[in-house]
Amino acid sequence: MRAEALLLSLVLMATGCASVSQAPGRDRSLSYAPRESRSPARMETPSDEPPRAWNAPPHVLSGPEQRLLRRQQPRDDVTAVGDVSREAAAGGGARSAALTRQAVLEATDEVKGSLRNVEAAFSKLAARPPDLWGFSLTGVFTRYLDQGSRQVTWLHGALGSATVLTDAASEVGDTDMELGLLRMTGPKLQAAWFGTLLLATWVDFLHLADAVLRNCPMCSVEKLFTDLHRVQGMMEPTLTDLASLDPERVEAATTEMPELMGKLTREFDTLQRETRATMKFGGQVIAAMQAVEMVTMISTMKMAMPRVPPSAPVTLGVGLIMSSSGVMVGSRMVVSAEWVEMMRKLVQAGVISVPAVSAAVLIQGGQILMAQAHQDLPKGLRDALGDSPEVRGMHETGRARAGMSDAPKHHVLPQEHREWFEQRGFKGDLDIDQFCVRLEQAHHEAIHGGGNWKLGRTWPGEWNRMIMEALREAEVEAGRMLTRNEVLNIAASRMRRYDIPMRFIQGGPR
Amino acid sequence: MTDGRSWQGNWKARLYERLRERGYDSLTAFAEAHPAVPLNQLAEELGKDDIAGVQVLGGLHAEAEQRKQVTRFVRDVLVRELSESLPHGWPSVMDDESRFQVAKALGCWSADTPDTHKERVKQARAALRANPPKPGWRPLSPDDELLRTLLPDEQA
Repeated sequence: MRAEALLLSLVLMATGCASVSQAPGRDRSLSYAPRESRSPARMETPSDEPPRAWNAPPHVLSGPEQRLLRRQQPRDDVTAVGDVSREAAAGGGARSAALTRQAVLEATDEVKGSLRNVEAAFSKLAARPPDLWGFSLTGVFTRYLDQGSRQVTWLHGALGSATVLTDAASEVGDTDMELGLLRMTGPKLQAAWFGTLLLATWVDFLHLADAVLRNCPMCSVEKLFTDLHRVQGMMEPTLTDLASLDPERVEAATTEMPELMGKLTREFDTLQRETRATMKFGGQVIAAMQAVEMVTMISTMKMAMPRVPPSAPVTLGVGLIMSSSGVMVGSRMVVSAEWVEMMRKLVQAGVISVPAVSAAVLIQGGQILMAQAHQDLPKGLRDALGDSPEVRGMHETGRARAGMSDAPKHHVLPQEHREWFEQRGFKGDLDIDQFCVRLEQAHHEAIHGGGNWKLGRTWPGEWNRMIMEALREAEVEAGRMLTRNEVLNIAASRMRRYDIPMRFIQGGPR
Repeated sequence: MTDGRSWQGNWKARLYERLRERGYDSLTAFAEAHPAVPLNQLAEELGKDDIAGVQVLGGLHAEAEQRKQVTRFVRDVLVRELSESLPHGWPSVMDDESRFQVAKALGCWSADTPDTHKERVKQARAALRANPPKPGWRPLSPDDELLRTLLPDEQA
């Protein structure tokens, strides 16, 4: 399902062929058949799946495939520097920071692409004229379309912030700070990624509803309305958490996503089966039934559909396997090796958490029905991602840092001087509240004077005083105001001096 | 990547234990054996992940007070700051980037200077601005001639 989307973003969207984009053209179910020839990868695979539903899947695969082509060339190159980026996580190389930045840009672009597809689907749905009998997804259903459009607003905002941070990272001229800024994009990117995924799922429901309204006069409009309302209610809390952009809430919502997608997939399947039964009962013509079924095929949830409902705990038997070409479920490729490589860079640099990647892969792999939200990835894939306690610890909300989650937040750039920093460009997505760190008490006391050699006498180690003096005196030397990047550059060198990790979290004004 | 481990446990004891392991009985002796090496790098020599530059700085200051050599310590701090920001010496062309690197080194120098010496350091910086050193100037120890002119030891 969304797996793709998820793939996010990666996969699906990247190529502009998110499933939703095709939906509007699918009125004539028969037109699907010829498309089979366009998805060879798909055709080779589905031995374990019912042929009828699965041989058609137009684009799911076209996403990964195109991406594969697009990225083939640089691949060796990228792989070759893999070790460097690992070191980067440990502290070094400008080159690895550049690779991380590249991965962030790619991921952002792909989410943007997915979001564009979702938006296009919303507008097309809204613009579709009523059919001959006057049915369309407007009227009382308009609220469901509006609901989607509202989400689009914050998703654009999150992606915009991520872009601002990525741009700033490219100019700061300090590798640690660059990675610190790139890590700040993580929660925004992750929220936009999974938010878009959910929204694409919502589009699927709307497409199904549209098909039902148009093709099933016997189906109850009231029931459909109620069903959609229930589905919306299931998505709402997660969307709210994601929209908060709060790293901890985003992370929690992300890890719950596979379970939610499983529930949504069941809802979708039920809705579709009920419709089919009603239509059969009403003696609907085959073309009309196919129109409804078609929605399933283009749905972002189709990956998971074959296992709905699981007659047996399928996921126990069909696990995810990491192969040289990517992650497989049986003979079906779930995500490409390129995608894994991109994720590896993001994970290694602490931008995206391992649990988030797990959730994406599980969703993509259709491993969502067992409601094992916290299921872990197979070892091969974890190895490919370079998973380790240290890597998890890189991520602010990672388990390894769980003990820190209660440690108080501190402004690196003293908030007593907020205005001074505003004058130097610390506004909006880059205001000083974005540059907070969690410090354990001992560390905090140490840098604020408590642990110093000569407490409060001649030793000027108190952080706020020190950083402001360094910045102000640097301006005296330069004979001008420092730029935002220069302030960050000096802050970075001071943070290294005090061994303050460049893992920024958002704080609030005191 | 720093991860804050430097502040866990008894870091002063840890620092002096590392010094003893390396055959030094004081931070000052260790620092003199590594002239013009940036402070963060000195800290890394003593403990890659669990000694911070500011701890070395604080220790050097404390020892300098005992030895009544604080002025020399302050000069040494600048030497190390410059070698980090301007590894090729004083810039020959003052473009935006090199002006920033100079400003950063001198601004940080002031911030790292004990209160007792802040005023003198400000005067030294003003003197440097008025009469910039020759391009390529790169002091290698606190005994550098120009530095001793800018910030002479107090008369005993």
